[in-house]
Amino acid sequence: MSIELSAIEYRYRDATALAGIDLTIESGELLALLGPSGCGKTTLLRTIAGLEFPDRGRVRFEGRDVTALGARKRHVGFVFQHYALFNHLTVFENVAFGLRVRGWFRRPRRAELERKVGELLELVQLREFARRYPAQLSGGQRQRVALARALAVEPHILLLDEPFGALDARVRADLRRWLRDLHDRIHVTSVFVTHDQEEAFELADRIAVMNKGRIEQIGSSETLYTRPASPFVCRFLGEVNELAAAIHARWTGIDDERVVAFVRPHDLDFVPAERGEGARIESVRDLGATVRIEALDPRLARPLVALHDRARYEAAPLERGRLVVPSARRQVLFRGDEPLADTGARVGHVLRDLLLTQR
Amino acid sequence: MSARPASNALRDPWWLRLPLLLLALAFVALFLVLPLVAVFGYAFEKGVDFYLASLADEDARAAIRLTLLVAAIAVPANTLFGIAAAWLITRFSFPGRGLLLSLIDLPFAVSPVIAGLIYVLLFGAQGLFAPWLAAHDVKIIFAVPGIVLATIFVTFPFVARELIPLMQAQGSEQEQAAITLGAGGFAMFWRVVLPKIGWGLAYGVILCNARAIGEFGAVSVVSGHIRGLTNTMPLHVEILYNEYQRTAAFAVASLLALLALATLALKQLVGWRMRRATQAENPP
Amino acid sequence: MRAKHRHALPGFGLTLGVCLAYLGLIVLLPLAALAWKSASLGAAEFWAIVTAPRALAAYRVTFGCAALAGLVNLVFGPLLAWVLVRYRFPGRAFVDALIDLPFALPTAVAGITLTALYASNGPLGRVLEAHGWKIAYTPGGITVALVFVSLPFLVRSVQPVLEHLEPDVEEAAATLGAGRLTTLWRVVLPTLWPAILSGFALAFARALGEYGSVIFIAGNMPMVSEIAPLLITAKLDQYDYAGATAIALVLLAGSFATLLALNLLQLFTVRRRSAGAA
Repeated sequence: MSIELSAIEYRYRDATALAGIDLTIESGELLALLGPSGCGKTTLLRTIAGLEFPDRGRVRFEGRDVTALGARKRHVGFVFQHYALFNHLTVFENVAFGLRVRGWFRRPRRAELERKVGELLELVQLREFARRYPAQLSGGQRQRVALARALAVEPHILLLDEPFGALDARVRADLRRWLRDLHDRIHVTSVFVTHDQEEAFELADRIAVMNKGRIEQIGSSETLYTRPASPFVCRFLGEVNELAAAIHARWTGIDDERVVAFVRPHDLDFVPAERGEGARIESVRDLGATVRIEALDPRLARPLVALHDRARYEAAPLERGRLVVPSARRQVLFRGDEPLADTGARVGHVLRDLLLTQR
Repeated sequence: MSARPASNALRDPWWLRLPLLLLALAFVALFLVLPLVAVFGYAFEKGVDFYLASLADEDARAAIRLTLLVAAIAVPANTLFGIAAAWLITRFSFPGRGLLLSLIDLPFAVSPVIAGLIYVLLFGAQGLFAPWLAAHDVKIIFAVPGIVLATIFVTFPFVARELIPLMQAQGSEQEQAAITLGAGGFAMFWRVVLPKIGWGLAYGVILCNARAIGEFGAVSVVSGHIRGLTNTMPLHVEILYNEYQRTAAFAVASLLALLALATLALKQLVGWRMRRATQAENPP
Repeated sequence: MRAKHRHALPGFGLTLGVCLAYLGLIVLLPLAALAWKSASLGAAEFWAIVTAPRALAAYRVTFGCAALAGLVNLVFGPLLAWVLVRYRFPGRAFVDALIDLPFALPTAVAGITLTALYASNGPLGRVLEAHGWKIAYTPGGITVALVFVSLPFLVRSVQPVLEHLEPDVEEAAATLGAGRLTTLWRVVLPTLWPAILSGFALAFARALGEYGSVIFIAGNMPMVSEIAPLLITAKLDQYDYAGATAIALVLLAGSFATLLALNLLQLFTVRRRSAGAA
């Protein structure tokens, strides 16, 4: 079932939580809402669920306007950040809850209910825990109970609020892969909220990056990474070197503009300087798979950061105090908040030029 | 209660411990234990037979019946109100919420005598509604309805006061989950809310009941002390005492004291269950 | 349609309706009657009633005994809380449960029991009167009853604060060379003051209106041992509704002023604490 949000606005007291959201989620898609805390992503998710009601705008499911419909009538599965399991009910009864509260005629008979709950517990690999109470489960198991409970009512749409937020790192990674597999099997339209870009990249078909109640960019992980729509997206997706500079028409076709170049550390190379000028290496830290090197160019306020992969570093080790020339394999240019045209193959030259024209 | 690490810096030296402990225990013995023992001592000072005869007295039995009747009306009414008020205050934000909260606390600041007085001013012989009541031959003051009203006024905060902080702390995620799973208001209340607040609710009802049965000042103002008709147990105790039937007065009082002891015991039990329930929800 | 006024959870209209109807009927309507009755009194008449010598004496007894009882509990309330939280002794759980006895015991029962104990022929009264102290049927008796009634307020407001007191502050004081008494006096007690004062205010407000436990032991002599709530009932017995209402307003003003002072105090301490943290 597809979801269309148009011009959604939501104010909470005097703050604007959502400032005009337009978003279409295709049927069967797995979409991530990614952003820092307070960006409105959870409010947006709850608006889709019918747990919050927007001040303006429309929510449509498969073209049908559901804006005025409460959560009870929307038929969405919702997995809460802290699971919201019913502590006084067993795992079995938690999963069966949505079936038991149906109207008399739509309520499944006993045998069917048991079969159905059994299947779901099988799906989330918790069959042998049916008689336990939530307090007797680990975090990852509770998460799966919450998921089975949401799926029991056969929702058209599955919504997950920070689904892995409360888990430790290893369980998190396992559960992430498991959830992706599950989605590939059942193909229900799903939206999840996260502040972790790695999680969004690994799980989602598309990612909507949010900031201050707006969607900054929607796209695949590749699009976001290689063609970010704004400096915010660029900064949010990981560590990045920022260089404010003027550039010249001979490289880019754009002349004398105040621009900012964003270069990812792993797109930056430090090459030993041939002449007696360049950036001086300040620190070298071995991170295992990569080596993190910081070098300060006298014209810059902050050191440049490069990540060399291990093989490359071992072939050409660099030590503190060495003078190097930075060169970028890839960079993104912005004028204000506007991205500039692709600079093509000569990106390394642009960086050198940028450094030369630093003010 | 969590076990405290027996750090030396936290332990008072014996020359401080011993006097403080003795002083505290002496105070408890004088002001709490002695009166409690005295109630039963005086009740049985003329033997078990006299005690039983005092309770079997026609007026005493009428007073017990009336007290139970009043509690049977006031406690359920205040329980329903308490649940509604706690739901309203903890689950919705609306203008006037703060005012509502202070109104709920009001009876704690009002003397029981004044609680009785306000109903006399409304329904009494010279009251606001006196002409209407006389015309329709309805009696509220010096009759059972007045006693019920005054009792409800004095005891209505107890359930709400107990539930509001509890429901505030529990949050509403489980209720939201129930709604997204298709539960209606009634199913959500029975299957999710009630089990969640059960022990706190029991606690509030116990306190409300104890106060409803024992209320004296407010009831005394509106009752008129008509023997066999508008005398509740505490009022009956007063009448017997003032008529120098001390032992009979203490016999009835001992029933009320037993109720108080049962209330304290239930309170400990419920407090223990509540702590255990919260521990189960947040395992270490 | 503006959907904002919808709530995610059901029951807003129902519970709002129940609360408004209930509070309107039980609280607001009777309070309106109180206002109506007092408005029917002229200012001069009102002033004459509330400043009559017998009324003034009743306030003196009520406020004086309530304050005195509060002061006694100001010492023993925190002491009991300290002993219950910090010391382990047999019967601790029993004593802890017993603290709430004055809440649970009907006031009339407390009243006749204290009277029987402190009367001249009672076990305590006999001993005290042998030393020349007459308690029952004097303001002293009223104070004893109010000590009983208001004790739980002080213990129960200090107890949770003590339970959540971080031990490291005391340990720090000890490592800085402070003796145990110095630590208690200069480190522990200052952190308890807000709780002690709020317990005192609650106890005082309750004691002002207390009736059942007091009237038996008070003796109820006008000008000497008559409390304000009793004066109200005395006026009601003579069908002097206006007079009763006037005294009731003064008593209400006393309780509300106490609780208002408490709220202001809490606001003040919260401000000071957060300003200190910033």
